Amino acid sequence: MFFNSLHYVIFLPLVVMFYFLLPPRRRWMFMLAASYYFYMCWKMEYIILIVISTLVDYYAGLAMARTPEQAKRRKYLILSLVSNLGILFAFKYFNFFNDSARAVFAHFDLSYHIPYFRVLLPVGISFYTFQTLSYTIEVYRGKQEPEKHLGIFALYVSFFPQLVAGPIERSTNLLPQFYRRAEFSYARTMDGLKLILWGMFKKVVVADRVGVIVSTIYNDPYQFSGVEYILGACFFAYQVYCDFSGYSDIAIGTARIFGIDLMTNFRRPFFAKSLGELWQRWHISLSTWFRDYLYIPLGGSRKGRPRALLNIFLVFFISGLWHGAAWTYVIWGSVHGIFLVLESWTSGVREKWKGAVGLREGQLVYKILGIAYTMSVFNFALLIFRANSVRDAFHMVAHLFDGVGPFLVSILSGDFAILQAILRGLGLSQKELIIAVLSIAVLQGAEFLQRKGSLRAQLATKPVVLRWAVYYGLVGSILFFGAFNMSQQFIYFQF
Amino acid sequence: MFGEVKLLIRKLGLFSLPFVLYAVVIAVVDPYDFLPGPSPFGEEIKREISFKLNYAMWEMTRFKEDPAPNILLGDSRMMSMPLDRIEEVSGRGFFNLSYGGGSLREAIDTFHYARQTTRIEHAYFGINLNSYNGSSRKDRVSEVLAAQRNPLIYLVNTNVTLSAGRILWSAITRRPPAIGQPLGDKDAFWKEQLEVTTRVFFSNYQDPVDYRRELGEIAALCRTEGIGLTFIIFPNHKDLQDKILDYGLAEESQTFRDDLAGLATTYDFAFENEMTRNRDNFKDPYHFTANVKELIIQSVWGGRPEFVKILGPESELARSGNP
Repeated sequence: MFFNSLHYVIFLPLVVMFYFLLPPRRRWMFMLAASYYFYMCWKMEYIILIVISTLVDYYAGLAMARTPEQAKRRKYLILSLVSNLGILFAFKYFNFFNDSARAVFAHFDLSYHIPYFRVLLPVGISFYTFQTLSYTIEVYRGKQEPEKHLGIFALYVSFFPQLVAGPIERSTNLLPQFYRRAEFSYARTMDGLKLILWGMFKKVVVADRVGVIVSTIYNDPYQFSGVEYILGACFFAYQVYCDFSGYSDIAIGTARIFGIDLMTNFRRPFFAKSLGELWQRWHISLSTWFRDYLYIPLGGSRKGRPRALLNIFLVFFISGLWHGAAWTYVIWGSVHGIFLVLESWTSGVREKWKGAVGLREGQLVYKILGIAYTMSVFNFALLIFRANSVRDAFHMVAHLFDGVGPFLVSILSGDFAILQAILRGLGLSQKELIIAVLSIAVLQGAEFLQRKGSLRAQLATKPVVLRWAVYYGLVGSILFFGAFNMSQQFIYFQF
Repeated sequence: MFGEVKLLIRKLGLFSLPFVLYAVVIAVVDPYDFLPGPSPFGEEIKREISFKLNYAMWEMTRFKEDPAPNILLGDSRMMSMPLDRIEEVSGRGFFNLSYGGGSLREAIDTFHYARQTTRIEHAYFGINLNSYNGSSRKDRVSEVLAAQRNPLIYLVNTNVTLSAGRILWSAITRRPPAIGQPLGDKDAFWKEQLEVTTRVFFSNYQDPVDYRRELGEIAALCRTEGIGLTFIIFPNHKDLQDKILDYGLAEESQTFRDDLAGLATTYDFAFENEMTRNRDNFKDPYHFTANVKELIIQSVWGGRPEFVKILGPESELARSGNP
């Protein structure tokens, strides 16, 4: 079941209604059933993987709490890590490594007999695996009391709003909220609905609309040249951001209706002035997960500069692999790792240089330069991320600026035939391009206003006419400019 | 709790009212006669407005209601062919499923749509080099198919909204609708079409790998299902023929003809001759006048070929009795 489906439009009000009609102590049962149903709508049998993760981590948590001995506690932690990561490896990574090994063997004319594992990637497996792992790690560290109620713990692993694409919640935040006896609240529901509305705008108006253009370019890159590659990379940045942050908004909004506060997952990432800052604003629940459970255990910045730089690179290398079992993701993660290492390594020199030329952090020119640099690197890396193969990615990178010069000369001299030819090649009308660009402008405008805090809070202080005009504008945009006939699912489901 | 629920329902109900009202208006006007039930607005005004705003939605909806066994597919050139004359000359029933500004993508998808809607006897594809081009990807057919699967999509289609608005406005003000622009000065328009439109069509010509494959599949399908298949390469003016050569597309132009001829009988009118040299036979380098249309009809359906090269697989040509 997708958030942008009619199925969900029927499912959510029904769940809300029955949830609040039930006595509070029985609600967890209903929510768990609803969450399992939500997941089983996609593929029924894969619920078993969630049940296995739930049972293993539930008992591992209880066993760790009963055992004061560190060695035994570690054994239970390893049990949890091996079973969760084992499932993840089998379903997500086995074929990738198997195919890679087969290619290496074939290169050396060696026989290789391990067969392909015919299996469909379980939706959201990386998300719920990381969420449940954070629980056992926190229990092992003694920062989380083990959850004694199996039903509540099962709900923590499978809570439907964030089950398949996050935010990857921490047990310390989410578990206690399931014990809260929240009553139905008009204000909270309206707040949740507004967030859902904004998430839907991002998803169906921006992401799905530009997604059509992106798919045309990336599915057959050899038919296009540099102008389209650059356009495709820029549009993909908005597609992936709006797709994923739109999903997060809908998840957070849905949870809010039930009185559950999920963590913020995105904070205006395209206003970041460095790649490091961008990763503090982008997919925050994953970035902090890697920081807490990988970067710091690897030594963080405590073991000297070279080790810290290596740790940064390793985290992003693994982050690339987390995103998908393909070399394009690994290269994407590595590119980020390299740039972040360079940013960290050159920070001192850059500070001196800034001082020499009189640049200060608050200056507009500094912000513009920072954003331009960040977006260039981010979009360049995304080009590799979205490419269908490493071969496609290298081809696009090698031809990134082909035809850009003549295109710019034509446009600057007022000749738009070349632009029309490009649009025709992309199967786009001028109207469609204008809608795509305008929807991005609306998004950026809204995010610019968010620098002063939540837009919903700002709107609440405005006259009712203005508020309703904004809401009608959003609903109208979704209905009339949303890409409903393309039926695109959320990109991050595949991770 | 129930007080808060009531408040929520009241507010959401109030908020939804304009959308409900909008849906009712669209359902009543029904600019494309897409929904069941009568509409107070006549065919004439709808054709004048809705047809011009979205040819595909108009034609496909009508075809579904009243299909014909012989279909015409293509762009504005095929769309302009007089159906009544073709029916008169051929003695068969036809439906014109061509769209102004159409692409081969749309023609192919429309062929499959028509095949699934009714038993097709003969399909005529109007294809020129500008549409047999990998960089021509326009697609208005998929939105019609999506609307046919889910009428809610019809309600929120921007062309449907615009059409309904214009129909209502025209009814209220009692003014005839004015859609499209007059052509203006022929020389200026000729130059614009020859220079700008041609650049849009041919400056990034791409080998139509997918189209070649899909047309091959259609030809095979037609043979299996006993559907007649004919390609028509419409005449273009000598100026345009030269322009295509200027873009270095001589080889592509020949491959295009060979590809079509390898699949089915192909009537090629787009070569230099007395007819294509004469500017009076054309409104612009792409579009021909009524006398040329009659010539095409007589050549293709009347068995009196003139200014045409009939190409095709040997077997097909022998069967049709063509030279």
